[in-house]
Amino acid sequence: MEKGRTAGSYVLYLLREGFYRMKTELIGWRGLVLLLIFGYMLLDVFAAMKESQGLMAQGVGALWLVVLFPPRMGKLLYLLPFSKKERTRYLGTYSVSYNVFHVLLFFFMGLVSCLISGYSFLLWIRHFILCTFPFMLLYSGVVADSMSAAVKRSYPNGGLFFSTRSYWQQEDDPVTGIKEDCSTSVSGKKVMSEEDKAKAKKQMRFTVSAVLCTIIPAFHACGNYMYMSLCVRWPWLLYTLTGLAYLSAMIGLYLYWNRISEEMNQKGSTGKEESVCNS
Amino acid sequence: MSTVLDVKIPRLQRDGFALKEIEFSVEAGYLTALLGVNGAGKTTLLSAISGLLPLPEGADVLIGGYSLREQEKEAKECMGFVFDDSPFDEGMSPLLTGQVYGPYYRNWDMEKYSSCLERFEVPKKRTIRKLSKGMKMKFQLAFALSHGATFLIMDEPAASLDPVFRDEFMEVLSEILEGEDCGILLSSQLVSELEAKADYTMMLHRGEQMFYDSTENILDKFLLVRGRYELFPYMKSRILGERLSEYTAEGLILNDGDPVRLDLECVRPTIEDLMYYIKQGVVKKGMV
Repeated sequence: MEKGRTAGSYVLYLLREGFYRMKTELIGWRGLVLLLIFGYMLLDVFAAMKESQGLMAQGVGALWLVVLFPPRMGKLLYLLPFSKKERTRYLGTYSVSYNVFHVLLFFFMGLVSCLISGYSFLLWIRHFILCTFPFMLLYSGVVADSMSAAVKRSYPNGGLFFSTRSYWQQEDDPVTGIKEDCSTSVSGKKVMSEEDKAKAKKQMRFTVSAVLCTIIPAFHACGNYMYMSLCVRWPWLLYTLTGLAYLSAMIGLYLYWNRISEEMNQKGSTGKEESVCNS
Repeated sequence: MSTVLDVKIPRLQRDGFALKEIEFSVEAGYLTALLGVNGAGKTTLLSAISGLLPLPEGADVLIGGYSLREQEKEAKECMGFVFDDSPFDEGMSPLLTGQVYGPYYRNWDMEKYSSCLERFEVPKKRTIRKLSKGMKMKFQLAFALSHGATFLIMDEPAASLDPVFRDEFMEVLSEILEGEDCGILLSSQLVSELEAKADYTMMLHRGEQMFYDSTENILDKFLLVRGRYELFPYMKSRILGERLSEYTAEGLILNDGDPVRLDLECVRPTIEDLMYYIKQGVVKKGMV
């Protein structure tokens, strides 16, 4: 019997992997953060009952959820016996499963919060659909982009969210994730060519855009909350302040990453100081 | 003797680095060493063979007779991989890895996997992250052997193993080769150890295939002559390259059957010696 071929069997395998993730990833620091998010959401629902508006934690909670549990596959995706079509199908199933997992987990946390606080779950869902879901779609856009990059093998480790490690732990080789052949100096330090430097810069720019993409929902959620609760009195001031905060954060982040990028280039490393290429 | 890997890559350009005119094969029951200095292109070549890098136009890799370009799935069914940097999720245990990823292979044998793990003394339920480097290698090997791979690709599998573990690992490889239905392509910097074990050697330098032949044939093509420095001028015309110290000198010559001066010591070079002279640019493509 041929295994691992139909979409149905992929779902079965992914379910098995999903159960594994539930078991292992929820026990540990991620589980702790999840509990904190849940506590935050609970308080938020209580606050929403008082003010009849709010639910700021929805956006932040959703953001943290997707950041905490990124899909992982990495180069294994290209080593396992998939044809190109099967690989695309697998990635699709993988992404959908993860998004469904996130939304279900999020709904579950919302439901429990509402049951504890006595807040209407329907109102909670309404807010989710109107305010939070559009920004989860933004995340889905990043996933879709990442997915297509993974199929085309054009981004580091096959895309931001398809890494066996998180994106801030990129390995030497931008395509395969395998330690790259490189020339070494007498001291054994990795010597970067101009092309490597350009590549490192490109990776940095990619990381900056990725970070910006993930902070947008957080800022929006804050802005949204402030608008809902206070804008009746000072809408223009709040808009300006939120906008300014977002802009400064963007500029700050860009400058920060730029500096890191320059430092890395000066050190002659793509991220690991004094890395010795042992290929 | 059947061919388990057949590589033909006229050119593979990647980020300013190019592999040129690569053509070699790996036979079942034999260990082929992929050697070269840093930056020679070993990892790029292994990435292309294992499908991590897309193959350019005109290039093809046949694994177990299946084209990686046209029959990728079938080709990868025949390929097992052992990398210095394990591609598996380090949060999983070896047992769970087998349960989750194993069934993607048509010929996956969970019982065999389990017995391989036991034989290699790999803890089944400990997370991969917590396994020692040697254990990680053995775990990958167990995974590769449990889906009936006929070709094993290994990138620096013994790089960070201690000598005892390395010996054990090499013994396991020897056992696999004894079965004569599996061929191995192994890249490593531990040249001296590989020299004794490898049946064939493929040498890369700056992306070019310097030579590919049986290790014995390659080494038999050259001779190292050693002796006092002042004796060397008499050999000048035959010496391809030399290493000089204060009182003695060493030179590489072609083993063409011509006699060598009796007052010069004459030995067979090691692969390491050849690598030195390749880097010096005196051993050129086509000499073997």
